[in-house]
Amino acid sequence: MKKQINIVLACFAILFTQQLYSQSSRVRTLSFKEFKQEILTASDAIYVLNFWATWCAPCVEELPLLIEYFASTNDPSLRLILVSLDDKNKIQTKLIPFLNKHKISNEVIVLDDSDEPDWINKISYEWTGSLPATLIFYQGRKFLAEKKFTNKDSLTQFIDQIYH
Amino acid sequence: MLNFIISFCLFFGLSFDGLKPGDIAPDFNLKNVNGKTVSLNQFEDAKGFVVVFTCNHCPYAKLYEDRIIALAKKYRSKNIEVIAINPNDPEVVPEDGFKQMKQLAKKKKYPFPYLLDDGQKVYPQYGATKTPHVFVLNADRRVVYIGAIDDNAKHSEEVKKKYVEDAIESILNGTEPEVKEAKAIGCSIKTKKS
Repeated sequence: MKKQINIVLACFAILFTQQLYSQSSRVRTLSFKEFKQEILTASDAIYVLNFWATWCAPCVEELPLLIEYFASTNDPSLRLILVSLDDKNKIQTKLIPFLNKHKISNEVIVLDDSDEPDWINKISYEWTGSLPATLIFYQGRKFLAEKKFTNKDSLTQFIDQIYH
Repeated sequence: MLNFIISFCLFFGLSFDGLKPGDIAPDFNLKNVNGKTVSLNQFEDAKGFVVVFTCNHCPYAKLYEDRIIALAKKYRSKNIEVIAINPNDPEVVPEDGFKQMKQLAKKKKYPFPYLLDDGQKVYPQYGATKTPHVFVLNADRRVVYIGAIDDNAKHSEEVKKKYVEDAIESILNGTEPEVKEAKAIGCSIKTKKS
C-alpha cells in the first residue's frame, strides 16, 4: 500500500515538473547581444516583435489582438515574438502565471540587459522607449509602431507595409 | 524679419517634433500638489531645471522615485530646480489622479513640485512620450539634455552613466554635456485618444 502511494506521488511529481518545464521552456531570457545575434539579424522569416510587459496596461490590452491576428494569418513566413521587458526576477512569479492565466502559448523572450539607451537605439533609432511598441522587419527593411493597436485594420495596415 | 522666421520655425518645430537639445523649452503654468501654480520663471535664481515627466502608476517611474528625490536634494543648494510633471490623463489612469499625486508626494516627502499637466497641453510641446522622460534645461531654458536619468533603471547600484547628473554638472561648469540624448524604456503617456 505504502509503495503504491509512493508511486502515485512520484507520478504526480513527474507530471508537475514536466508541466513547469513546458511552461518555462517557451520563456527564454536573452541579453541584448544574444537577442541581436539570434533575432535581429535573422532572415528566415518576417519577424514581428512586440515589446511589452505584464505591468504595462495598454500592452496587456493589445495582446489578444496580436495573438488572434497571428493565429488566423495564412502567411507562414510571419513570426511573432513577444519581447517582455519584465524584470527577470519576476519571470516565475509574474510572467509565467500571466501567460498561463491568459493561455498564451506564443514565443516569449525576456530581454534583460542594462544600458537601455544603447540597445533601444540598436533595435530602432525611431523608438523613444515607450511601451507598447511593435517592430516588423525583413531583409533590411523595418517599420516601428510606438503605440497600442486597437483594431485589426490598423494592425493589418502596419504589417502589410512589409509586403510593399 | 529674421526673428519672425526663427520664431516661426521654433513654433512649428515645437509643435510637431518636440524639443531637441539646443531648443528653448516653453514655460508652463501648472497646478502643484500644494494647490499653488508653478512656472519656470518663478525661479529667478535658478541656474538650471530638471523637468521630469513622471507619474504614480508606472513601474519605471517607481523605480526612479528615490533617485529623483536624491537628485533634488543633491542639487538644491546649487540652485538647480527639479520639477516633476504628471502628463497622464487621470480619467484613463485613476492612479494618476490629482488626489493620488498629493498622497504620493506626501508619502515620499517630495522635495520638489509635482504638477499635473491638466488638459495635457505641456507634454506635447516638450515632446515627452513616456514616463519617466527627463529634460534638463539651463537658466535660459535652453535644453541641454533629453532622456533617461541613468543607464540602469532596474538596478540603481549597477548604474555606470548618470546622464542627468552629468548634464547638471555641465551647466554648473559652463560646458556642454558629453551625452545630450539617451533613451530608456518607459510607460507610454496615457491619453483618451490611444
